[in-house]
Formats: sequence, C-alpha cells, structure tokens
Amino acid sequence: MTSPLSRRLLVQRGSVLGAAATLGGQRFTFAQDASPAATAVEADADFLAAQDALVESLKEFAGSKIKMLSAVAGGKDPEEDVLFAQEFQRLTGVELELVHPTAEYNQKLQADLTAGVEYDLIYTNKSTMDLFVEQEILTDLTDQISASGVLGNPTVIPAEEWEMITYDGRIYSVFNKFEGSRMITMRQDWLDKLGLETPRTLEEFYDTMVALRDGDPAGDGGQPIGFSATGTYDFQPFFSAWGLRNGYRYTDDGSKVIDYASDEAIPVYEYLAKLFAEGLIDPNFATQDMAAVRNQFMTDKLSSLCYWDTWVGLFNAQMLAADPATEFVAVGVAGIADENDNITITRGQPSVWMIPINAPNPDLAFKILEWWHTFPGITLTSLGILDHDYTVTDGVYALTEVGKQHAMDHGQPTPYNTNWVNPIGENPGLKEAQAITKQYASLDYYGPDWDATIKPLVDAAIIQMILGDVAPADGVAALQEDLRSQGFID
Amino acid sequence: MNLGMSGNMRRYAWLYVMILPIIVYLGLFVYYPLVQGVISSFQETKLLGATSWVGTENYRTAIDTPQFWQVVRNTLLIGGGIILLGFFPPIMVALALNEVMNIAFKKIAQTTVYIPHLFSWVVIAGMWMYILAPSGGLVNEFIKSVGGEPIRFFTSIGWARSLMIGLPIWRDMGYYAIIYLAAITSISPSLYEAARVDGASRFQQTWQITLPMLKPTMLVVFMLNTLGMLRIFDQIFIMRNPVSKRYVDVLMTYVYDLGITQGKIGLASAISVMVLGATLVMTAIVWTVTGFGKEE
Repeated sequence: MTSPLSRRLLVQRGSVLGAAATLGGQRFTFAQDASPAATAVEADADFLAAQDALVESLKEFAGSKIKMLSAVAGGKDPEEDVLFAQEFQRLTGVELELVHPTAEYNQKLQADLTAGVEYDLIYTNKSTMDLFVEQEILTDLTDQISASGVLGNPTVIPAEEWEMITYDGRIYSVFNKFEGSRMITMRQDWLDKLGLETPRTLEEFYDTMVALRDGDPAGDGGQPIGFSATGTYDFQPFFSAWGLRNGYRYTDDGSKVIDYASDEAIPVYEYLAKLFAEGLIDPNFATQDMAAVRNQFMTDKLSSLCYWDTWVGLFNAQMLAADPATEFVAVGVAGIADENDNITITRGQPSVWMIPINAPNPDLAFKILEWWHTFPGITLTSLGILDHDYTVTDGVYALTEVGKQHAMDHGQPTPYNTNWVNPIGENPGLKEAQAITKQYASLDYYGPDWDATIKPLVDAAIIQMILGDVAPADGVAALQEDLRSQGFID
Repeated sequence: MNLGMSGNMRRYAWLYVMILPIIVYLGLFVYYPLVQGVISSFQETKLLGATSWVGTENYRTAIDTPQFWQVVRNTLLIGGGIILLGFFPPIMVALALNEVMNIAFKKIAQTTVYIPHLFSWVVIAGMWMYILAPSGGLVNEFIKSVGGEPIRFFTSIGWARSLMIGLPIWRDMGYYAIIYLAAITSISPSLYEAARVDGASRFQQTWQITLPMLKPTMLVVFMLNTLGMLRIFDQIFIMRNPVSKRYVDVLMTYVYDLGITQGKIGLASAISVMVLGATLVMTAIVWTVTGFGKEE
C-alpha cells in the first residue's frame, strides 16, 4: 500500500481515482482514455481522511472474524462467494464467514434469527427492518453514525437520505446502496430503426407499441409484445399520467386514501385494459416472474418493461458481453407527465445492513459498515474480485470475461458515495437512467396504517380490471367497498 | 414367569438401547418443536430476546379475523375436493392396470402414471404454468388454432381453485394406484377361481371380490389423506398469484404469511395449534365413521 503522503499528493492533483486505487492494496493510477465514463472529481478531503483512519483502525481487528448473512453482496455462485470472502480478507484483514442463500432469503433470515444463530451483519429491506425495529432486535447505531467520519459525511450519504430509515429519531441500519427507481425501459435501437420518437404521452405510448408490434423491428417476422410486467407496481409510470401513486395518501381532512383504489384511477385501468385487449400487454403478466420478462426483453420478444434503472445498464452490458457487435440498446424512459407536468415514478425502498442485538462483534460489524462505503469496499461490491472479475494492468482497469458477465454488480452496483468514480466506467445507459431517478423518483408512502392484507386486495382488483374480467368502474367500486369494510380507507 | 417392569427392562435392555436414537430423534425434532409451538401460541414472540405471555389473545385474534375464515373455507374446499374427487381415480387406474396382460406394457404404464409423483411441486407447477399459459401455452395455442378464446387458467378464480384440486390428484394418482395394485395382487387367486366356477363375469369378480378386498387399503389411503387435508401447502404456495390468492390461500400458506412474512409468530403458532387440533378431531371422526382398525 502506498504511504499516506503519496495518497495526499494524488488527491491534491484532483483525482479521487488515484486515492481509490491506493486503498485497494495496490498502487494504481487510472487511464482516462481507458474508461471514458470515469471522470475525475474532487474528493472530499474530510472523507478521505476518515477513510484513511478507518483503514488504519481495521488493522486492530486483523485476524478477527465476522459473520454476514447476505442476499446480494457476494459472488454470483458459491464458488465466487469463496473468492469474495478471500478478497474481503485481503482488503480488510478480517476473515469473512459469508452466508449467501440462493433463494427464500427472508425465510432463512427469520428462521436463523429465531433459532439463535449469531450474525454480526444481516441484510434486509425496509419492510423487514420495520418489523425488526418493532421487535427491538437491532442495535441502535444513531450515535455511531453521527460520529463516523465516513457515514456521517454528506458526500458519502446525503443527510436527508437517513430520514428514510429513521424511527423516532433513532437509526438502526446503514444503507447498502443507492436505490434506484422502476422506470419504463425500451429498445432504443428499435425506435431508431423504425424512426420513432421516445414516447412521452399515453397516446404516444400506445402508438409506439403498435408501431413496434407491427413494424418487425427485430427483422425476424415476429411481433414483439408492447409492454410486460410482473406486478401492479410496474404500471406506476402510467398512473403517473393522472398524478397517482402506490400506498397511502392522506387528504387535508386526515382521511386515508389509496390512490390505486380511488375513482381517479378508473381512467388508468380503462387505458391499461385497452392495451391488454389489443394484445399490447403481455397476457402472462399476472403469473410470470421477472426472469421470464428479462429473457423476453433480451431475446427480441418484448419492446418495453418497467424495471429498475440499474437494469438499463445491466441489459446493455450483458448483451454487449454476449455479442460485442449487438445492436441492442436499452434506454430508460421517464414516466408520463400529469396535467401539471409532474412525473411520478417509484423509488426502491431502502436496502440496508443491520447489526442484531446478539451480534458477537458489534464494534467490528460497524466498522465493516463504514468500510462498505469506502473506495475499496465499493470496488469489491461493484467491480468484484481482483484478477477474477477485473484486472489492473499498468494502472488501467479492465473487466475480465467473468467480470463482464457479472456486469459490475456484487451487491453495490450503484454506491451512494459521490466521491467514488467507477474506473471502468458505468454500464451503458445507466447514468441517464439514474438522472431520471434523481429527477422524478420518490418513495411510496405506506406508514403505520398500511396492513399486509391491503396489497393482495388491491393487486387482485387491478389485475382483474386490466384483464377485462371486471369493468374498471365496477372494479374500483368493489375494491373501495372491500377496503372500507375492513377499515383500510375512510 | 412374571419378571415385572424392572425385569423386563433388564431382559430387553439392548432393544431399549436400540430404540433410543429414534426416541431422541422424535423428541428433538418432533415433540420439542411441537411443545414450543404450543407455548408460542400463548406468547407474543420476538425473533430475538424476551417474549411475553398474552394468554389466549392470539387465538381470539385469529378467530376475529375475516381472512382466517376465508382460508378455512378455502382449505375445506380444496382439501376436501382433493380427498373426495381424488379417491376413485387411483382405484380405477389400479383396476385398469390389473387387467393389462402384456407385462412390458403394464410396467411402462405403471411407471408413466407414477412419474409425476417423483417431481417436486416446483417442477410440476412450472410445467403446468407453461402448458396452460395464456400466450404460448400448449392448451391455449390449440384453443386459438381452432378459433376459440384463450383461457386464463391461473387468473380465473374458478379455474385456479379447480387446478389446485386437480393437479394434486393427477400428481398422486400413480402413487396411490401402486398401493392399490399391490393390494390387488395380494388377493388370493382362489377367490377368483371360485367365482369363475360359479360363472361370475369379469365385472362381477371386480365388484364382488376385488373392491371389497380393497376396503382396508381404501381406509388407509382415506385416513392418510384426511390427516394431510389441513396441511396442504406446496402447490398453493407455488401456484398462487395476486388474483387467485384470496380464493386458494389455505391455512398453511396463511400461517406462512403471518409467521415468515409478517413475523407474527404467536398468531401463526396459534393457528397451527388449531390446525393440529382440527386434524385430530377429523381423524377421530373418520376413524369412528369408517370403523378403521376394526375390520377383520
């Protein structure tokens, strides 16, 4: 590792990339021409100092062990999990016992906690965290976060973001990554081929889907489906046209309203039912999983879907990895504006790391949470494992074939830390998609009144209306009656 | 000679030692969790840390929840449907297989009807969801090719519930048919010889000899199915979707949702205890009504 002096020199030259590289355990410099998307930014000096101090302090824990239950961070298969743990130890000096279930994560998480398995770190989403906070099984991290030079630095995690995971002024978790939004993702190459503009209104979306279906954009004589989905939340960009969103809304007089079950949503269902009746929405949407939809999109059978912004880049990266000469270009499209020109798309609920109250090494666990947001931590959880997912030759970073397949996602493909710049460059299309997220996406509000039984009721009604089994006006009336009878709306 | 209890213990000491592992196994993995489940049903249970006693509150909460009664109704409809509609098909298959004279064809037919039982529900559900898919599914493509309207099997409420009944019957038909076939082959040939001497037709032999002799096996199968009726889970969990959920969710999927998804372990335990109690009651009723265990 280079000395702190050389690190300071690099920072003084204005390149945070150099500083990032030094913490990876080797002396790297980054060639801008090799990574055109990576641009040098001024790193926050306080952050860099805190990062140095953190890396130094981790030496005290060399040889210690940490046990982590993860749904996302790690390798892409059990063999790569082993390499991930080895790389983690190389970078931190701490031995990692990584438990990385391949399926039924929440079941594993709750079963292990109930059985008394002791983890230092557990990963979960906000809804599960709500439950854990209610059950008082998490370590309060509020004071440690505010005292942390890394996590308490707003260039690492903006101060207002913490509000999403604050409970009565207390914080029990640390973000895993910047959560994107679900947005319509389209085949830009098909739009270009048929001379179509990016649709911005409901009418334009309809016309575009028809044109793509009938225009044989893939050149194989097929008729790609216009839009596919796996859940009712995938239709949010269309609800946006009427300024509606998922979850609860409280009126001025304090009444509880669920937009999706309101009279204002009837035109949305009429529009979607029309799309479905004309074969523009995938007939399998109510029963299929996302893997099937992704597969359709990547095999020329689908023109558009609603999915995470990160996947705009991942689609492009994976198609390029499979065939460097591919014409495939996915692009993120903002939803449809309402009459006030506002677009409402849904940002993902926070995914977080927490320290259970029975963690054997809570102090070390918190240091790892800080380290997660430093350059070496981000490098590991995005690019992956040195000499496996990526290589560094004469200071130039390059993805290996394995790394291309993994598309720079080992748990944290979109870090919060604004000081870090990806030395490879972002996946194609990701930056533009994230710009849409930053401009238009916000969290749905559920709040304490939201009951787990509401979503199945709303989902079932919405699907039946889209399928044409129930007329939208009747469907919404029945849904309102159902929700009102159970006290879920006023 | 009366050795007394201690004498018996000494005499059969090795047998007791040999049975010890299974007693330990049952104690650890069956009875201990069972007792813990009953205890949890009277507690507000946390995933970690202290729990508190809440008396019968979990039971009262369950009974007062409309969703509970909806899943009870679904369970009785689906579970009852599987038992009643699934009772005769395996017998008919077994009788049909018994009539096959060509040994090779018989073995192939036996294997063919048995194979679905070997597949997990994940495989079966995936296969049928593919076959019945509205777009690209074998059945609907055929319907469309003859000018019909595609059927949305899994999102049509009536069809969804019927599939939850029909697919388990199809999957397990071969398994139960093999049981019945084994019972048929153990019927004494002399009974059939005597019937033939008396001029009985093939149908009369089946009606008067085979079916009566199958009664004990039928009772065992019926009892096993009754024991499992309230515990159906796999096919529902895998094949339900937002539209059908309300109409196909059963007690065990409800318990899963409460316990695993929502973390309401006390409430989930209370419902599980009620399921256990109801299963015992139903089994006792079936036992009494059918005279199970009393047949000669």
